[in-house]
Amino acid sequence: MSGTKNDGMPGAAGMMEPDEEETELLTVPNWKRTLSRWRRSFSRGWKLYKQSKAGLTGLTIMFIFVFMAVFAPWIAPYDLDFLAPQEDVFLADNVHEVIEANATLGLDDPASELWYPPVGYRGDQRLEEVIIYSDGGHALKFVVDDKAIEGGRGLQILSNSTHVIPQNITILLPTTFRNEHFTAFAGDTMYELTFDTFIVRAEVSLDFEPIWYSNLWNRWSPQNSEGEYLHSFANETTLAMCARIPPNPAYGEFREKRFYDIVTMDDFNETNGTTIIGEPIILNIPLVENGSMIVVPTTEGIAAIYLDYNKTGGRVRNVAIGEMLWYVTYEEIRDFWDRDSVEPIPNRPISIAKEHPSEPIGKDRIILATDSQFLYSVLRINGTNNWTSTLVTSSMREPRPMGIWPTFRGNLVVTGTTGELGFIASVDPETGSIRGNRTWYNMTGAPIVGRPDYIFSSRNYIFMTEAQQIVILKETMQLDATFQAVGGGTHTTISYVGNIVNNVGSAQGNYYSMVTVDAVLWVQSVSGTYTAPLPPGVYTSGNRYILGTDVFGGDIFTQLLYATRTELVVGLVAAVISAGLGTIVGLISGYYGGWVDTILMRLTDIFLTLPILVVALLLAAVLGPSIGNIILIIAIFSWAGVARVIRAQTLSLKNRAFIDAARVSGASNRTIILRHLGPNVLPLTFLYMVFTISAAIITEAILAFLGMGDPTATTWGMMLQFLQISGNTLTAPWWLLPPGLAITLLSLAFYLIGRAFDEVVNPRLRAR
Amino acid sequence: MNMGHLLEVNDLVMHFKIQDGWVEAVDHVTFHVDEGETLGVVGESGCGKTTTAYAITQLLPRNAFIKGGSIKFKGKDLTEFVNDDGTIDIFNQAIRDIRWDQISIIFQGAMDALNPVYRVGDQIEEAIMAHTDSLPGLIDDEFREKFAGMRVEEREIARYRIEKLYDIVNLNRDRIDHYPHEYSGGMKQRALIAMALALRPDFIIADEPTTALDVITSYKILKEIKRIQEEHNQSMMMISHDISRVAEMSNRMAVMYAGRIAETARTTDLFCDAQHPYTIGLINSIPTILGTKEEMKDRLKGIPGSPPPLVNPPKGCRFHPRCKYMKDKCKKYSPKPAEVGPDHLVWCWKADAENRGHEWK
Amino acid sequence: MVNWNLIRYIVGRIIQTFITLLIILTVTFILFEMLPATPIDLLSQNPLIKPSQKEYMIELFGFDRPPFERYLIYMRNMLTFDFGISYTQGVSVNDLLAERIPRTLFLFGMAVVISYVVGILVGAYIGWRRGGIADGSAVLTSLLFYNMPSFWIGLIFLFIFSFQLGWFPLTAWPQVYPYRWWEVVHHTFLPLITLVLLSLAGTILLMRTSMLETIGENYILTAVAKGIPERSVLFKHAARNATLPVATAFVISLAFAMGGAVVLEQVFSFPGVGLLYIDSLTSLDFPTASATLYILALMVLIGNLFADILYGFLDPRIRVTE
Repeated sequence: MSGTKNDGMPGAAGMMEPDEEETELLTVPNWKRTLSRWRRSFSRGWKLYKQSKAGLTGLTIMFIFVFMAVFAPWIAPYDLDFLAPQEDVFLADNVHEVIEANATLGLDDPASELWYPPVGYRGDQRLEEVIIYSDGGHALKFVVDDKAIEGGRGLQILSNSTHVIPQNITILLPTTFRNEHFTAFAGDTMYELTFDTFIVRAEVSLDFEPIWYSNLWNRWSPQNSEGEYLHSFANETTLAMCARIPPNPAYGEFREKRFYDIVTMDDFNETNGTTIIGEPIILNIPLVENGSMIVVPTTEGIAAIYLDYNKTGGRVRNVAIGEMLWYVTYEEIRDFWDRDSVEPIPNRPISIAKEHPSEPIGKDRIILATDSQFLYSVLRINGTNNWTSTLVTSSMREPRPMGIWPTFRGNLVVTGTTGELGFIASVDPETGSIRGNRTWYNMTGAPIVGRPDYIFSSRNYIFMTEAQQIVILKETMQLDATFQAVGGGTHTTISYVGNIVNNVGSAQGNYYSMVTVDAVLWVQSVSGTYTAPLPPGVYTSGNRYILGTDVFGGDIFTQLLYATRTELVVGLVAAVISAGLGTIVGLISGYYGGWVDTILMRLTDIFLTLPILVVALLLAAVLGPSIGNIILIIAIFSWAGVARVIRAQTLSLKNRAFIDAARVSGASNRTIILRHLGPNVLPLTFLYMVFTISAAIITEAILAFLGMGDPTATTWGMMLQFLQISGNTLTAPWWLLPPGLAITLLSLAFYLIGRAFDEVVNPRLRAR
Repeated sequence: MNMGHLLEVNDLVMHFKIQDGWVEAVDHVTFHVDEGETLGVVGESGCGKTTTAYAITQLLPRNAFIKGGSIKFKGKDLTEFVNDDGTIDIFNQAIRDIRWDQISIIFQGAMDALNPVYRVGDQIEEAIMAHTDSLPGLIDDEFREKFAGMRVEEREIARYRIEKLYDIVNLNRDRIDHYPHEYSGGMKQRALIAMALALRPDFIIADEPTTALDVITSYKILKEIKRIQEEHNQSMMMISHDISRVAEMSNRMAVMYAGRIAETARTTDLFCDAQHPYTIGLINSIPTILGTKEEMKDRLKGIPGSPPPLVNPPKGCRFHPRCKYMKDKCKKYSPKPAEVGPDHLVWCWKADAENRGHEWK
Repeated sequence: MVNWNLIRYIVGRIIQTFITLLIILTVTFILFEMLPATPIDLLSQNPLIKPSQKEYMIELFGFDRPPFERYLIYMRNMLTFDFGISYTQGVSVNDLLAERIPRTLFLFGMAVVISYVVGILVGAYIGWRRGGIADGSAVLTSLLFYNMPSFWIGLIFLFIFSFQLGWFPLTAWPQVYPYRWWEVVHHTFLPLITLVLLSLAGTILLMRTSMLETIGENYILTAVAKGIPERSVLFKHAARNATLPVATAFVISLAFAMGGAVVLEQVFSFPGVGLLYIDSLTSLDFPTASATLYILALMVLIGNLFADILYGFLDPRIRVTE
């Protein structure tokens, strides 16, 4: 340490202290000395750093965020999974009431009977009647008034009446689109009851007990040339079709039901060598003149069989009763895809869907789901033996499809689950691609139960989750409303005009949830507008949402706080990895030189030149969405800049005396790099690490926004992505602004710290 | 000289404003340069030599404040162009007209004084074209002969002048269209000299012109400068921290310490009869190959310590912390100039006292 | 006068760019091979493709061949710009790209050019007049924009200028064909200005820093001493030299701007290559995804090449020594 002090220009004094480390490094390492050296250089650095106002600002912002992250559970007003209570999510003018409609008029012991879930009849615009019925031969009819149209106070029960119906009825449905009558089943007997008074208008024995009644009550219920409505029934042993002429003057008097064709399963199995295992569906009646095609899933494939309803007994295409019109085996579908790795189709398909009614005549599309993310759509062109298959898929490995539901607008609604979360997507059956925002929508915190329904009047999809949450989606699959269903009892269906709405009726802003508890109808009716996302403020429940809520009623401020944790972890870990990688590459490249240097630097150049985000997206698609992968991706694409700088620094250090001395004294290359060069480039490594944190935070947000984020993690990017897919970007600035501002501020903080630190490390910058 | 000096700097005060206060870079500086004369300015680095020189044409950063004094050039006070609050409008039209046309600077070639992205010739041309009024003065007989009867554009005059300049500084004319990085260190320096001479200025400031060059090149260049200066009878101010080198070049010398003048005198007077302890120290630090071993040991002592920072410099005489003759008076009062001989001023209480016949105690 | 050094420099850069391109293509090939779903699963996703066609296509694209052979075919197809047929749209990818490339080039190219020109001018000015109010506010604004996530600014702008003020349409491309230029400008203004602001921030900050360093150089003092006017000193000397480091950083800016363009195409539903890329990636449309990725990388690489060549002219030192 002799003679080096102050031999420079006096004018430059105070700009850069002479580097004492060089000479000290030569002496035997002593932890105490190292410690004091570190302390000295730290306090020297801090003295310089303090002079930068921007640096102090950055440090302050950073500490605020760190504070937020560490103390999130204490600062946050709510839990992370908190959802605003119902009274907050609806506007103040709404009425939220639970009606206990105990109308067991004249019944001695209603509790002794088994009461079935409510059945509703809905008129053009509103719910008009709700019926509950028992196996003891009683039906209770409630005439209700849905006043939502007049801006009123939700559902009200106007009157109720008790009716006697046949005993042991298990199914009671209003049939055909005029709601002229109810169709009911009791064992092997099918009844037709008048709509107003439940008088048995017709009674027919089916000779077997039907289990499946699929597509019977459809608005597009098949009709033959005589105006007869057709019904198909099935159980494990028999497929049957019957027809009825409606009371239309053009067709004469009401006629008793009669069967045209009955195929027993034994016949079918004998003829075709396979066994029917699922619910049959009726397809394309108009095509098969004077007959009906029923598609059934069997153990080995999908079969279409022919039932004739022509009273003259004429046949088309010379197909015998019960003979298959066409048959596609699962084996064939697998062969069509020609790959072992394609998931085998399970023996029993999860669902078979009927195609959109406006589909050109002659196409039958059957959708089969596998246990993986794949759905197969089998398109059978009638009149030919050709068929083709479409693979309906999602680029995400999760979630697993659970059900496929046709809608009246040409889409298939596919529901899926990861076990914890419920997902829904709208799929184009033609191409198999997911419509809308090209992604599954994680709409719920629980799997979706049953079938989502489409409501014409409001153009909504509506479904319920295992957590009794009722979710209403817009046609674009964006969240419109959600609320908690009334608890307990048996939730099933309210039906109207032949369509089935799960658990809830909705019209003009009214939402109902109904349940039968013994003989009592409980109606939860809510009217008004669903208002979430809520702007900041204090709400009915007394809760204050400082930054408002998201579309589920989750508190934005809480999410913002918890997300800070993830952001800091992502930024820090990614930066450490990338700075470490860059330093190693830079040191090796700079120290060894030659071809090692050439190769490494070319590689570095490529990484610097690449449109990083574009390739990162591909990598994200390969690796799948998780926080770990995102960290990895950020690290992979940000080490190059660090490597360049460290290499330059290594080159200049390499020729200094202390390295020569170490080399001469016989230190190995590894020792020189680790013990002598490494500590000297460390400040630069740290500097670029700080800059990388800043970049990592932004990159994470962008990846999340583009749908490559981890759906289970709370990050600012995911908050914004959820905003985008919920369709509230342009209407909820309180949701749009905070995450973006937080990203900007945290990124800015690290950038400012980096710049100030840069001035400490590079004295040249300070001279200004 | 009756008609006054070519350049007369009187009591010039120029301070830089910084975050912590004021840097008193030029403090009550007084000196003058006569026509055809070379003034050598010496002192350690950071003593304000260059700043003083640049202050003449107000080549100062924005935080510079001229707080007092005058700079009379050819009888005109250049401090007239300074704003009322002492700040400087660096691109003032009036001062720009004087720059290079009348006062030019020989910069240090090794320090990137030439813009690396332009051809050297173009950079000289730029200087000439900035002062088109002076162009006719550059036309000589040879030029008239060469372009007799032709319409001559201004650029052609400039080009002709540059070729001439290259001849003067012994540079090959082919080099005009080369870039600075294609020049060697010595060539760069010659080009800068050529540039400084471009408009035949009356006064040239040579700012450490040979500091970064090797001894032989440096010697050649200095000889060149001296020859040219004598040929054209130009006045010069030569700045260097190397007192011996300046001595060869200059008629008179000024020694600066910590933003102030310590002593000015004719070169011979300065060497024979240095009065200021700092000057003596500087002279004693010149290595010599003559004399006995003891003498050499005695002479090569140098001055202990280093110049003070110019933010809050020492009160009184700024040299007092390093001065072995320091007395209480030196700590309290700034010395007044004492005329110890003809044209020989010393800013030192000791010299002042001795000059007046008092003993220094 | 032929400047061989310059030619050697340019040729060297071209070769280097080509090698980079090959490496990028190789990496993307490997990545596409690693995707969870394979092209074979998706080949017949389009019901219009019959099994016989599928077999034909399997043979055509060589999916029955070993990976290395496929790799060679992939490289050949990419380098000859033969991108095949989109799995999801059933049309030639080249046709899809043909109408989208000019749009993205317009968005990306305009943004890069505008942000560089404006950024250099503003950066030069505030660097020159450092310490003033203009400097402070420009630096603060730039710092903020520099640290904002691109899509977020896009959303904010959409919210303010399209939704609240109604100055610009919500769609980023005119609906009706033929497109009139003023409609195109009106529709693309928001994404363009967003991308410009994003790239501008970095350029301004860099140019300002570079200016501050350049102003300290001695040749600036020389220029001032020569008595030339302020404008000449600022633009001819200070700004001109300060552009050099900024031009070097152009490489990173280009990649950055391209990322921004892809994100903003998504935000503004701008029907360009970037949107097609994300669409095709999420729907696993392999030919389209690999073609768009290639085109995006190519745009950046060619941009870099231009910048490198321009740099050769900007900095005379390059022409002599590599």
